[in-house]
Amino acid sequence: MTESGIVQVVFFSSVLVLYGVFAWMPVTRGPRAFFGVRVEPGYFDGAGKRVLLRYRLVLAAVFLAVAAIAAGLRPLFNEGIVLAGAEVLLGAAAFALYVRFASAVRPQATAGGATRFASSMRARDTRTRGWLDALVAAFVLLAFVVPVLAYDEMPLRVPIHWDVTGKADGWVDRNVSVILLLPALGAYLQFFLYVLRRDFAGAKMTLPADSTEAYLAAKEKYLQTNVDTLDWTRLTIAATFCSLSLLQMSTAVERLGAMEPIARAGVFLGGAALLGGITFFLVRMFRINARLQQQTGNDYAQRSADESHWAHGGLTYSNPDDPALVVEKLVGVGYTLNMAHPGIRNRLLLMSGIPVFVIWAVLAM
Amino acid sequence: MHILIDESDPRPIYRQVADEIRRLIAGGALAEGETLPSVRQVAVDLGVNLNTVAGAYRELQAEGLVTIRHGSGAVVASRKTSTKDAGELRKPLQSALTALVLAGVPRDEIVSLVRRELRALTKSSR
Repeated sequence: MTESGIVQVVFFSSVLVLYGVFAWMPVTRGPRAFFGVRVEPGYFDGAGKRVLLRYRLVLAAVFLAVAAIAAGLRPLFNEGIVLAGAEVLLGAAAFALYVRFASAVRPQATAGGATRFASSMRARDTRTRGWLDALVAAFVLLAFVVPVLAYDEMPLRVPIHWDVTGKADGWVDRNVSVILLLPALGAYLQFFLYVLRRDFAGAKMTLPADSTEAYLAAKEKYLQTNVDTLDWTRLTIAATFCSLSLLQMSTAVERLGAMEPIARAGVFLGGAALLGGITFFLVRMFRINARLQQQTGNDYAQRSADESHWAHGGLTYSNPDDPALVVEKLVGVGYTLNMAHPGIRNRLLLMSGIPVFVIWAVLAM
Repeated sequence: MHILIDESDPRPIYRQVADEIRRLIAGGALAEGETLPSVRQVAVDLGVNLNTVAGAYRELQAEGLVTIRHGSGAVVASRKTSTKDAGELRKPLQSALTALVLAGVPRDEIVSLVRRELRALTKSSR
């Protein structure tokens, strides 16, 4: 398959996934969070069904329109940039549409949530994995050490882009900033993910007053799966970035040429393992909640005092009275951050590293 | 193993947390030497201030039921409270029985109620 073919397959499959996620989100928790709002079952099965159908149709129309525009623009500009732009536009349009329908459903909101609830008395233990931390640190260090040691042997032109077969097809003048970009980005991502893992391990777990033990067992597994996802992401990203760095070195420096096939395999395997792993863990989390729902008739519990702090159709949570930084999402799978928590400022500051790296990349090339 | 909180209960949350942990210790679900979850974990799960849970833990420490070690958290120290004599402990039982009698609950029913509650409390005790 050509590079363009692969880019298109990736684009269309990610668009399908995006559509699926947004189409399913309003009904994640049934009438308990229809577009993030608790509604009467009568409304959910009646007028609500029609609202849902209209939303899904409008969403599909918007997706088709953006995809058609992107297809039209594709021959005129750089294909990758057009499709990436279309992807971002689709995400923003889907979000806006979802929020718009959510505000239309909002007047149907009924009071609810728990005034009787439970909390676990088992000290929580989300396995910290020393071996994984060590392995990640080794990958990050290796990505720095090799270019520093090999710098003098590097030719005046170094590769910065590879085609789908892993053959270098873009080169720039050798300079420290372009050599250190990949290792630094890898190290930054690892620090970011490490902080995220620690935060997620302390996520909030409100339990309902009924079927409490069955619920607790399921949610402990759910949280562990989420932490496993982050650990897997840390490991595979570390391996991929280290391989990318080594691929760059082995393509540029003759003496390291033997390393090239290994580095190339590392990039492909690391990337595939990352995507495959995340899909596997997400499906697992989805199934844990589905089984819990079947078992106890409930897969989400929160205090009634917390329920009114969800906004944007249950996509964002902002509660200054809640000491939790990480809470389970009201709609969708996984966890989200309490935007009113004092710790949120540092996390956002940490995220601002992403544009810094984009600017670095543009300047270095 | 969990504690139950009821927002319509007139007791303040910290008192409910302390009472619920007492129940788990009395019933044996929380054995001697067992570590309680951190104050932060309980506060986050319940969505209450950290001081609320810390207050409950301090109360249990004052009674000798748990010891709080800096760094390693709270551990169940004993299944017997160190304070209060039998006479003082009888008072809340007396007032509860008075309320039941005044409510017109028959004597036999009160006795079986007490038995049932006691059985539920010590059900899991080894």
